[in-house]
Amino acid sequence: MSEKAEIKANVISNKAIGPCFCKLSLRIPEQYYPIMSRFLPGQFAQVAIENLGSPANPRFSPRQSVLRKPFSFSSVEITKNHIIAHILYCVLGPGTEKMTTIKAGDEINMIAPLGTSFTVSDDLETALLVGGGMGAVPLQSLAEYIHKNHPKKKMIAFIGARAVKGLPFFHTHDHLEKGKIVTEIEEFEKYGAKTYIATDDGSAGIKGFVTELLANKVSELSIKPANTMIYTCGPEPMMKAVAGFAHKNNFKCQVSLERMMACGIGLCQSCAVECSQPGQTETVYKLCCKDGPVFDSAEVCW
Amino acid sequence: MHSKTDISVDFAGVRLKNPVMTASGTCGYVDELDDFMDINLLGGFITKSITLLPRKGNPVPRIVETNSGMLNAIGLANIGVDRFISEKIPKIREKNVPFFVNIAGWQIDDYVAVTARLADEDAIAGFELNISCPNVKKGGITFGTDPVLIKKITAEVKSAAGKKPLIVKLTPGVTDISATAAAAVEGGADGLSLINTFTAMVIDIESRKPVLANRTGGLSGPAIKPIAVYLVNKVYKEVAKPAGIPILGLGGIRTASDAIEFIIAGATAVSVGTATFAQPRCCLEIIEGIADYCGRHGIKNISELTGSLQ
Ligand SMILES: Cc1cc2nc3c(=O)[nH]c(=O)nc-3n(C[C@H](O)[C@H](O)[C@H](O)COP(=O)(O)OP(=O)(O)OC[C@H]3O[C@@H](n4cnc5c(N)ncnc54)[C@H](O)[C@@H]3O)c2cc1C
Ligand SMILES: Cc1cc2nc3c(=O)[nH]c(=O)nc-3n(C[C@H](O)[C@H](O)[C@H](O)COP(=O)(O)O)c2cc1C
Ligand code: FES
Repeated sequence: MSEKAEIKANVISNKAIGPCFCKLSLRIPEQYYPIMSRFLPGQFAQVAIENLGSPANPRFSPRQSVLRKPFSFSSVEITKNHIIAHILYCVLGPGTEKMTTIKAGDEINMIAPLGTSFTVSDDLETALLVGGGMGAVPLQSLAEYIHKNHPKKKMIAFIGARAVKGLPFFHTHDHLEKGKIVTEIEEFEKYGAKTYIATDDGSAGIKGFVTELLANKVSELSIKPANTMIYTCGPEPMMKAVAGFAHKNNFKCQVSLERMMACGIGLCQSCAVECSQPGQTETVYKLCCKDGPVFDSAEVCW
Repeated sequence: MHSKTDISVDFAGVRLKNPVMTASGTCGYVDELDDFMDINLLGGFITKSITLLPRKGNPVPRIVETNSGMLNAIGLANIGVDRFISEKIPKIREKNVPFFVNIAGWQIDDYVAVTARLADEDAIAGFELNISCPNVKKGGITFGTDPVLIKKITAEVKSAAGKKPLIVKLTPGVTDISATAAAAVEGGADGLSLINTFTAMVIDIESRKPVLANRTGGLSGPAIKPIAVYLVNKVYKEVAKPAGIPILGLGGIRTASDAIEFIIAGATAVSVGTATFAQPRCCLEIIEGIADYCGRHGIKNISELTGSLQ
């Protein structure tokens, strides 16, 4: 049976979260259950945007798009009676700007589920989720997955952004902990993941980089590399720093990379990721859409 | 009910069930589209460019989207002819559709060597010679713009190809495409495919740098279609028709009506490239649309349509 397919999904809602983010919620029709119920966290969709309307006052020079756009799923709720998939997107250019015109009741054509997923081994005890900006999206579906399938495993999420408005979440709330203001993200807390936030300007959580936050908490909580996995997604320099931290401290680490993608299905070779090969000096280019987006951080040539 | 049209075509001595093929570099090597369609329903399949040695290709970003199109600078990333033979030929054998292997290289000897390795391979119907890739520093496009070199490389590859037909893929980046087309025909080409991509650039105004790591890339997609249609018609009139050589038309085809334009302009068959990225099944829809059009227009055999421009 095919692993991926063109899916026509029905839009439940498309809501703005603050000035830059939107959440698109899709009902997957029954005929696609066999395909979509195979979804694993970290996998993505190629969303067709060609036929979407243009917003009234576009910020970006309008573009007739012929390519689909890749988006991770922030959550795929799979029950016997329905599958609901959520995409969180950031308006960055003409394509994502057009997506803001999507309305409840519209039909969205996407190819999914694509690529590799985060993996959770049985002997894992602690999952450290390290996200930056939009990179927090696939980590949400990972938290959902671990909560559902491995409820005994401990999860801690570290989320970074430039400023509080760079956090792609609906529900953050502040409370006092040991005299300090702590911002919690309900999207992670509801799955039992304790969350820590770092922003460059200190407008939420601590002021600084998420990688510093990670390093501090790992030593403060004396988290040991054995039976721990770091899962990370975000801007490439952040992931590089996380991978460096993991390498230096002997943690295993899975990274979810992004590349400019023309097809998302292994046809075009546009999404190359330079990787080392065990026992060889020669590197190879793997495909982010097929061999990734999730890679073992140790194989990626940063 | 419309009358039934025969939409099969003879392309350079190869019988195609219908005139629609995939375009090199946009459909993988063999089974990449299997999740979306039965490729045996295609007229033909043209593989990614194969070179003598494996190639990693260019650094990223390798693509960028543009208005009604995209730029690519993949840099001929491919597994090389040895792995192609060991890994892909067995899978090609399982398919029942004519496979054309697209060949690329840096010097004539490279092209000849790859062709010779595959010349006796029953699973392969023919070759497409890529002398027009704009994304590799040496070779590539310089072959494609020099009629003397085109004639020479075509003749040498043709003799290495044995009995198998050779299609020469032309670049639009020349002043007179009929001169390069004529050179390929003189060299012994059995078919011409046009067009490859146009060299182009997108600039990030914040960094004032080109978006692509390779700085430039090849423009493909609907943006280039009217130029491609014009060039197909020009080469049809000036070179292909007089010489009795078929044209494989491509550049921006997404729908049956796009394909039919190319056929009316002079193409015997067409290839679909960029459109497959967004609609992996679109070749099949194009095939249906062509059959439907022929039925509606009372065309008995699709060959009546080729070059029927009034
Ligand atoms: C596997 C994967 C998962 C993704 N998941 C999400 C997600 O969950 N939410 C989200 O908002 N975005 C996600 N992206 C990025 C998203 O695809 C791009 O932001 C989007 O395509 C931008 O399109 P545009 O036309 O609006 O902007 P463009 O004008 O095309 O680009 C605007 C900016 O975004 C960058 N960009 C464009 N395409 C990509 C891309 N494929 N990958 C990375 N950066 C890109 C460009 O370099 C440019 O700086 C993901 C990308 C990949 C590869
Ligand atoms: C990502 C990409 C990779 C390509 N790779 C090759 C290649 O390896 N060899 C080749 O001859 N043409 C290659 N082409 C060119 C296409 O085969 C075709 O000539 C061109 O894209 C125009 O057709 P289109 O507009 O339908 O895509 C490539 C095009 C794209 C977009
Ligand atoms: S995006 Fe086309 S091969 Fe990965």
